[in-house]
Amino acid sequence: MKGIAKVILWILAALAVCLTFYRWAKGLGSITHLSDTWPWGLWIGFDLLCGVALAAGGFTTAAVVYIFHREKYHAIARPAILTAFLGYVMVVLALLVDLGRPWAIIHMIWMWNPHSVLFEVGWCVLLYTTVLALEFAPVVLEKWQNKFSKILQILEKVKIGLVITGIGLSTLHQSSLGSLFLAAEHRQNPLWFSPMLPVLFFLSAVMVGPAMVIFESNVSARTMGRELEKDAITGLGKALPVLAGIYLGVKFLELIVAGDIGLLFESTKYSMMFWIEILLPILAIVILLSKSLRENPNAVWGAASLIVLGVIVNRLNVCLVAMPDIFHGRTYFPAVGEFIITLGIVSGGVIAYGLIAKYFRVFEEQRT
Amino acid sequence: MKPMAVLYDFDRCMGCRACQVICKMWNQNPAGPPASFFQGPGYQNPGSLNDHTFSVVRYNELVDPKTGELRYYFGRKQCMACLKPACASACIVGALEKLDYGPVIWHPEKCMGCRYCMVACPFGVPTFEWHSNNPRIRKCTFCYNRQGSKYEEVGVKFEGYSDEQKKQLEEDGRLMLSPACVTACPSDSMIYGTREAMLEEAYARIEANPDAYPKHPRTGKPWVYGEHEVGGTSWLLLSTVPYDKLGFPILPFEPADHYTKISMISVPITFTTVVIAMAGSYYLTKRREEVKASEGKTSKEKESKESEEKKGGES
Repeated sequence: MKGIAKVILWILAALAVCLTFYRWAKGLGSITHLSDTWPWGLWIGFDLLCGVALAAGGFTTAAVVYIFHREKYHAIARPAILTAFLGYVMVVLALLVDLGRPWAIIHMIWMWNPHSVLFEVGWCVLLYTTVLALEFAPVVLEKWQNKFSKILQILEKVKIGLVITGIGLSTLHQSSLGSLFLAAEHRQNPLWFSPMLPVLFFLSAVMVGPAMVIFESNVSARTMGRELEKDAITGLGKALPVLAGIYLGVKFLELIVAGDIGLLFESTKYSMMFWIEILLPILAIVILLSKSLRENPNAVWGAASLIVLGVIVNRLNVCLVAMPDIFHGRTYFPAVGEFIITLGIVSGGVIAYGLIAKYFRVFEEQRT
Repeated sequence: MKPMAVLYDFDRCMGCRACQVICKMWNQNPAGPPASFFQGPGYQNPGSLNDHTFSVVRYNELVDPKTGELRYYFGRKQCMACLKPACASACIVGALEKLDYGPVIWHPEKCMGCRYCMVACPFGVPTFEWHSNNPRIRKCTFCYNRQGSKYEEVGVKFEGYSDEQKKQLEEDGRLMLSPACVTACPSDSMIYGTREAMLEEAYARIEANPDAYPKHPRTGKPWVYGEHEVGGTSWLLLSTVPYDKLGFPILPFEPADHYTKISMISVPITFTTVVIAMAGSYYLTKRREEVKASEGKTSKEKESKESEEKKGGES
């Protein structure tokens, strides 16, 4: 990593830590623009919803490599699982900042409300983070192979079980994050509200999983000066337009069936945000349909970035743009403090990724 | 105990805010900073519910159809104490509880402050202590701590009643203290009793003057707000002005959790299906590879294997 970038990352992370202590002492109102009519803001919209969606590369890659035995993707399995694991840790960190009573987060474990979607999401995130930790543990433990040979053997034996459990848990909570907003039927804009929200959330997660793997492989290849896994990346690049096509198809079909398609052609801020959200993946499909561009890693990288961006806009739309304050008409824009904490958590994730990649064999070519 | 309810006749409300004051007194909520007239919704004070205001009299400025001039139409906002509360079904730890006689109350020892209840509430009622390091969810409790006590417990004697009569009174909820706001109303705009009795009274008032009251925009039937909204509420509102003009949204009749319920039921089904499908695919692809490997030992397999792998990669 370049020196200056590193310094900036550390500064952002340190700032976020300081602000977090300030917010714990003074309350959420002290550094956010959240209010009674805007109880959820940037931290839920970006850190939680986008964080979980962008970590979908973990379960999609695990499925391709370990379930469907596509050997050519083996090289990206470890980095994908590491990204996913760090992603979930970042989600939990963000929750500790966002929750009004962060120490009570453990209540979830023994105070059950099986009617609550959030209860299911919470348990899935908890279990899946554990699964990811176990899936990634061999990478850390193999460094001291002699000491941990027993544990490594056990982990190797349960690996497929872990992968399958992880896919099941991911399917559940990736979709349930959409179900969260089924409770907001009364206020969510009809362009986004639909009983199909869980399905759309799941399909977009499956689409953004490979896109994120492509994006992150490119970034790490460039910053760490290693070779790109070209075979795997072009392979994923071929899958992207199919996955994006399925997602967009279901999305449009839902709009047509629900009779809300007309709203797309009214000039409101909602229709504008909706167009941005879907034009990004459409553009990615257009790029990837051309054969020469599909073979070009840079073009694939660009297309994958567009899809990642599209999903980020989608999650922010569902959580923030589509949920107007119907009672008082107040608006919300995140405060500086909210941005700093979000950036700080992301920086912390990038720093951790860099450190782990430096000390452990995350990438294939380092294997001896 | 039968579910209790308050019937609130908005046409009798004169906007005196005595209920708002007594609500603060009973719940020991402090006064807020003075509202600025020209920045808020007129005389309405405060502009909305907040962590120290559990009920607020709404001052709706609307055109009077008779005179063609603006006038105030009053209404009040507080927790509607839904029969199937969205907040209680949403809460991750079950910190919100529906009591059998009506109130929806919050348990501080459970809550983790995620604020999903605030997102889920169709009336925008729960509020949060934004400037506290140990914040609480704050909202009207339908005076559960008054309704929960009986007159006898606070020193009121019921003499001259037989045990049987007393039992009947208790069953009808007549021995319970009414919510504080109901006791304060000088114009009798609120009455308290069993939900059954309150609905009966509401329809009696509509029947006495059927043309004056609005019809529900979807069903076209007489509209008592709260009778069916999101599965019914413990507050029943009656008004000659359509409720959506008074700040009460037109809501579906299904309980707020009707979609999330389906998604929760499908959780175990989805999980089992995915796990079985994945385990099946795992063994199938493994088997295919084993077969391929054993065939590979014999003949010209190498080429065909390579081409197959390519195909597999592309599909």
